[in-house]
Amino acid sequence: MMRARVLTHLVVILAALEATPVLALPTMIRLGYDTCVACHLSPQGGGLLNEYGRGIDEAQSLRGNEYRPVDNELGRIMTWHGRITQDLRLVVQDTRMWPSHQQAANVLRPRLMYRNVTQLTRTVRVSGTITGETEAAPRPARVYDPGTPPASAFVTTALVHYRPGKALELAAGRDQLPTGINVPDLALFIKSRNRLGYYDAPLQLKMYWAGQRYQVVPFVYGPAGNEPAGERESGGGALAEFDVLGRHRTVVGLSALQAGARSGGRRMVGTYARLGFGAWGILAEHDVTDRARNSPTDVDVRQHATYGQLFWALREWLVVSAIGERLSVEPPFEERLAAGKIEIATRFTSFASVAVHARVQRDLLTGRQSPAVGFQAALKTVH
Amino acid sequence: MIVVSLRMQPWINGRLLTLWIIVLAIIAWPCVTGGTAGDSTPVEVQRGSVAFDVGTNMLSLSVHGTSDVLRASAHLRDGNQGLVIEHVEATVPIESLTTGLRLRDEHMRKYIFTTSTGDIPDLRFSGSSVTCPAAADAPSGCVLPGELAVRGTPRPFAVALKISRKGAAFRVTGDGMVNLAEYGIPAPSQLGVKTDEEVKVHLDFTVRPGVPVSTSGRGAR
Repeated sequence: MMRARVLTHLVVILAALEATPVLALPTMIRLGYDTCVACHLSPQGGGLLNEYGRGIDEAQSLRGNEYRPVDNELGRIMTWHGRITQDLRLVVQDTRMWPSHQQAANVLRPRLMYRNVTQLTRTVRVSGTITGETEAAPRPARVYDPGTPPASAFVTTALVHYRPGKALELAAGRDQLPTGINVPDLALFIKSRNRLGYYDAPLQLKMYWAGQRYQVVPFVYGPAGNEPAGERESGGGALAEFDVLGRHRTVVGLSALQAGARSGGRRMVGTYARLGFGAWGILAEHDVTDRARNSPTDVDVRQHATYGQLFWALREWLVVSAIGERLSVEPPFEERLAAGKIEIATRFTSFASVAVHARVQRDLLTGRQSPAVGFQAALKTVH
Repeated sequence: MIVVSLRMQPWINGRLLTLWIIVLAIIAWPCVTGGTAGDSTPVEVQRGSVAFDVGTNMLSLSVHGTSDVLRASAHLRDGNQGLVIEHVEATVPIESLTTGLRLRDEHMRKYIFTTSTGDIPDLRFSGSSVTCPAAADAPSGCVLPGELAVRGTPRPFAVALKISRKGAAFRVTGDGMVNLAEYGIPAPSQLGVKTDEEVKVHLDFTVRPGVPVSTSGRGAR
């Protein structure tokens, strides 16, 4: 009974986390965009687009127009003569699920974000994102990995960036930690089971060092202050990726992280690939996480999380994905989960996108299934 | 002995010498010209594609485009020193070149391939002759000189070819470099991203002896 209730909560939480857009993002590798920095102000991706990125955003929409920056006196004042890039973004997610062992449930989750990047000097800028929401979406809490408490208003990012040249950027502040294939869906096992939820934004110092065919991202981090007592983790890690064939379409990488907190530590190693072949591509990642807990009891736990996505751009503005996931946690907290998802993401204009998905998750130990369908609409201001 | 004989019969000496010169000339001519032991055979492109790759001022961003509509004809013959390629004519319709982004394709056609009068002539290559030395169990390699016309303006353009036999057909790959500045075309720039002036071009097609007609590559788009 208790296990069933926990499973139901997990399903609801996963549904609330789901359906972040797959528009552009790592799937852009199909067109040779192997890193985020070509289109995003932050080399980690996500967040605000630079001028070229806004052009691509508009070009890849159903409308497919030329992007024309606002060029009037009010616009110049609002942007501090081009130094400020900002927007408001509204994301509404509605997910309905039918767990085989529980009643159907529906989660409607609107979120409003304000995002700002201000260029202070030629090499220094600050960035921040504040998110407000009415429905919390914490990642699943486990005995060996407690969740981070949600908040209705949350500073997702607050960073100072220093970019001395095209190949190098340093960033310090709070943000999500760098990850391998960098898909935005926080419900994925590779994210939600590795402390990469909405409310995980540790203080960190990271470096992006890139060449024509490689990118290296070392980072160190400490607690942000919103973690539960005993879970205030400090550590470090790195990503290292390489463009195998030299055309910015075949990237393979390794990730590593080691961290410790009063209640225990974890060590994660992963491998990932982003492959693009014109209209279609593949994203894949496999992570192995070893946790050594000393609270509430001494126990070691090993976890495997696997992700695979095959995507196909039927049109520039219409991307269909088939996604498979697998999670296994070894005893004493044994779990065996598998999930499959079909997702259709459409971009009508640069400021309006819609995604729908159908997902089935199966507990391989109990045989229980949790089918769900979801809808997401995202609106943002574009200047 | 021959010398003696020739001295003894001067009239025979003159005729024989002329005959020997003619025979030697016939034998030696193909060697001098890299010529053939057989007749030249017209070939047509069976399957062909052209790709280009150009870097930008962004560190890890390049623009890659392709066309599967390569129309080409040439004459091939087996020479004593290898495969002789002659009378190469190839065209690529501009509308068949795509980069994966429709708007970027429009910009490419507008800024690279449109003439001052608004015309968009096909890319056209005319090659002179070259002999590709035969190599056992390895592709033949040679450089085919010629002219590539962009916007209808021809400029010298050389393609480094690699040719391998596949039964009666030949698989041909080639690489060349186009410099936009040589055509007086400024490197395109869009929202802060500017392409390089040097554009790498890669060809890949299969030819088979046949009728000397121009055919499309993998089919119409």
